[in-house]
Amino acid sequence: MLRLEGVRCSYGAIEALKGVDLEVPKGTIVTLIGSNGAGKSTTLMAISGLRPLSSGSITLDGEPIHDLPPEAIVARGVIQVAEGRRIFTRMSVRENLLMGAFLRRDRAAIEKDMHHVMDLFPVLRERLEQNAGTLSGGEQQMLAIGRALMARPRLLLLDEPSLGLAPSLVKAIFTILEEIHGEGVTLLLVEQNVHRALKIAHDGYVLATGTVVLHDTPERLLQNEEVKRAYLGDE
Amino acid sequence: MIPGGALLQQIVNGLTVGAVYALIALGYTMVYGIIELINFAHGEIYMIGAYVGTISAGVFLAAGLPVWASLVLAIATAAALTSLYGLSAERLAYRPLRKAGRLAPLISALGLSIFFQQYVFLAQGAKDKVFPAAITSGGFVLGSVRVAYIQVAIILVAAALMVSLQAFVGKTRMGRAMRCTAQDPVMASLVGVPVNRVIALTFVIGSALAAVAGVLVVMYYGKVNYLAGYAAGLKAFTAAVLGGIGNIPGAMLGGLFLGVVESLAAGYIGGEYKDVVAFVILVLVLIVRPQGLLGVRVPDKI
Repeated sequence: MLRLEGVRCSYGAIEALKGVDLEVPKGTIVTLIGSNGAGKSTTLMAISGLRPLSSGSITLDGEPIHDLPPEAIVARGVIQVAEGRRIFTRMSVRENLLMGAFLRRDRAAIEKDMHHVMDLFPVLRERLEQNAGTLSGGEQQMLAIGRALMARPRLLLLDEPSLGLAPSLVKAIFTILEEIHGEGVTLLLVEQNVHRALKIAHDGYVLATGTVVLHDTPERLLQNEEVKRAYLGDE
Repeated sequence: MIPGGALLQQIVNGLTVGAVYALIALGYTMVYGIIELINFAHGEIYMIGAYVGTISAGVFLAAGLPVWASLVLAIATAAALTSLYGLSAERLAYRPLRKAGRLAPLISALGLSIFFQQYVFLAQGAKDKVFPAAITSGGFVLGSVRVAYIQVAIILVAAALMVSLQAFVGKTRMGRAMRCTAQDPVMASLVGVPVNRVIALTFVIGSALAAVAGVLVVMYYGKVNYLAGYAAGLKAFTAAVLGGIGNIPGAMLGGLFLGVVESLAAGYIGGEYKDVVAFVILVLVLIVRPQGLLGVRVPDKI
């Protein structure tokens, strides 16, 4: 479905991505791990059209998308849940969800999807007219995922969805991600919570200083000595 | 002390001028809210609106249209053509500098302001441009207060535009897109908002409002010249800061407040002191409440 080939990306003189090759087959969950500054977020930003490539290509269903503006990539069903949630704090929960459906015009279906999202995250139903800035961190993360679902994603890019959440919430978020996947959405997941993220994945990549250093099945990555030492700690 | 009737008279006059400040201030505050730029060329946009309105009113009157129709059409023409100036300004002078930090677009705005002044000077000359229809004469007396029809028109038109703008920003899809872009342009892109088009739309709306203000003022005072944008722009900018820059209701409130205060100062202290009072109040507000009357934040580099 999504394929990155030799993707290079620079911030001024610093090259953040030095030739990333990565593939996300349709219907799978692919997990991307790596330490801070490895280029994980940059990879997602490049896919979403917010970082220009200096070389390489990004294709979706065989068609190049790396020269498209961000809104055209959203229109193709590639939706990102950005790092740090980035909900619109000065808008209500409802308005945040409506913004997720910005490019859609099917009012009735948008209303239906909003109910679906609230079934998935019941707390959002209680807070619907509340200012989104007043939500707790976990609620904001749920809103961020719910907002992304309002776009009817085919491919969901998630940048550290469990970051900074209490363990019980982390578990809930991963359960939801599996549910979303069960509804036919392909997932590309960037995570610090390596153990959980690999457990639900079909394929895994390890990124270090802007290149893919390991690509293997999640089972083998979880057994890999280097991965264990660098990312899994005592688990 | 001036008598109570004169007080009411000053308030009516102040609200008229204040409504105009508010319309112009909206352009400053919307642009600041969305790209954090003080658009110093915005006063000139207002001045160009006044010229376009004056010229087109002349054309419509010469074509034999009734006066009221000519005036309405002149306002519409001014809003439409002047918004193209705003749109071009954004495309040519600001968008190329979007990633160049904050100082470069600011200097570009100052340059553009001078460019527009000289452009109108070269095209229209240094003499005052006189509005082709005499409108100031008509009016009525209410108690001891004389109200000109044009004052009523200014206040009503300004109020209608402000209510519409609030509804547009608060309730519509593009209004929401504007608020998102103002809050977090990157995240706005990630939900599919065409950020560049939303920014361009902000300039179009701000310019159209300033143009309407320009035509209303030239109807009120009867004339305009190529330097008119400077003073009006400075006052409207003051109004925007008073209300809290970036805040739409703040700009409305700031404009009306400034207009009334100025008018009272002119009545009680003397006309030559009204600017002094206006800017003293600005300084006081900046000291006591730097975020403005309704604002939540303040420019940190200007």
